[in-house]
Amino acid sequence: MFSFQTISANNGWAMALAGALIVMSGLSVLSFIISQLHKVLGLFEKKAAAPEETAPETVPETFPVSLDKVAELYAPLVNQLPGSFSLGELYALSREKDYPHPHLTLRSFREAGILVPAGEGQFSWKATQ
Amino acid sequence: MDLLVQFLSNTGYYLAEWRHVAMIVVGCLFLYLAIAKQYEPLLLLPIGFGILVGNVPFFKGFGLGIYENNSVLHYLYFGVTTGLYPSIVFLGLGAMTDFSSLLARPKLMLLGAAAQMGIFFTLLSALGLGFLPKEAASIAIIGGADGPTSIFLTAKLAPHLIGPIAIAAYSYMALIPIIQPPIMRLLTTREERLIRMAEPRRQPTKKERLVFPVVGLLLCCFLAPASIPLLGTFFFGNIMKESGVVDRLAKTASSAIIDTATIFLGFTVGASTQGDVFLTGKSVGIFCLGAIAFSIATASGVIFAKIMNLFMKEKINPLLGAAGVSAVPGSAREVHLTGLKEDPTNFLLMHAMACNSSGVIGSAICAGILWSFMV
Repeated sequence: MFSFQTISANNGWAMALAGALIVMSGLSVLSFIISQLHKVLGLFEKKAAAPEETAPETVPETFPVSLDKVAELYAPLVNQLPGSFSLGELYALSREKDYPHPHLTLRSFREAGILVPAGEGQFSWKATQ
Repeated sequence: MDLLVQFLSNTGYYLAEWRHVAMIVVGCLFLYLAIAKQYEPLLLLPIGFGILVGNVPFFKGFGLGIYENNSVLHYLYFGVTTGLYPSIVFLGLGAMTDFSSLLARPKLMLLGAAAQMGIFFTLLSALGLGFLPKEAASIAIIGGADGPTSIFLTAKLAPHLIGPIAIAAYSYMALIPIIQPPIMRLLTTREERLIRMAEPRRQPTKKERLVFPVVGLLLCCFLAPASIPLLGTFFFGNIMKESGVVDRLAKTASSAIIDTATIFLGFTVGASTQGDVFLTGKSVGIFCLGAIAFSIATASGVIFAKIMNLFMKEKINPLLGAAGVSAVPGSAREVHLTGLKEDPTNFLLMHAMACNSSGVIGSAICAGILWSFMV
């Protein structure tokens, strides 16, 4: 009743083997793609965010006369620091940005109350309007 | 008087044969299983009642029967013979499926693939028993444990076998709580059944869930274009759900549309199952092969999981291999319950659902592969 010859005559072995291999390989590839999907999507997200980060910051050739305007230029540097920071940290950032006369600027901020002592050598930034 | 005699000779009582009675008993049994036992009622109730309707004896030529042109049942049956209803059902299935489990556990997709080996084993068995190649392929797809897929492929390759194959496929899907647990226990040790699955290190983001239907569609349908009618609508339903911008459409697909298709699919498949087609030696062979297909599918998934454990540091609970059988969510539920019996704190359900989702995709790909082999 059961005949292996009829299987061979109808190419059954080849169909079964080919079918099994196709479905296994197809789902294996899909499985691999799924496992890497979050990395690929992460790369796209980084590329989309990158232009904002690499946009060059322009340093004005001459600093504004108004201390408030200078404070606006220093505000992005302060945002990179924690709530309380040392003057040395702010000074280092201003040197990286090649801001002119950082010593004098920070002294002016202290005298104007923009840099407020927070104790133990730390200072905080009082936002200007 | 002659008029009365003529009328009486055209009634079902006069035309009834033992085949009609036998099939009506089968239909009543399906209704009992659906209503009293609540075995897959969404499927067995329409099929059971369809069997009753399709086996009411009538005088042929009146345009009443499902196989007679211009009959109402024939028009409704159009969706089965053309593969329309299975595609629509897959649309709704895609709109209801959450692939988060699968995306968080991509390795488990391989278990869904392994469970499809039951299809190819059954193909060989059916050919060996003397079925024609197209018939054998239609019978083999029962091993995919997916009713719409079975009906779709059978409608394309061997439409004269839709009745017994659909009945066999849905019957065995309803009998999963009886078929699968003994096989799972036979092929696994207690230590293996106690393996706890680690929770995934990360949950998939919305973008991943959004990209997956596109990637899945392109990859699977490029591989097996013949699976487009099933996987195309399946992933379409899924992207409607995940996009979040067509909630109304996704809700309609996952409710009214799939319910309508299920009603007509089950009813007309049942009505097509008439005694002279169903009560034959071939049907007995189909039922036996269907049981083999389900069993081999379960076993191959479990065994593949054990093979994977030979190469993996983090072991997989081999019970999950049984969930690769595409009967969503029945097989996942059985795996979960079998795991709970060994350890009431071992929750395998979400891991099993990952394998189940993969099985749906795998069985549709197999249908496409078999169709392309036979054309």
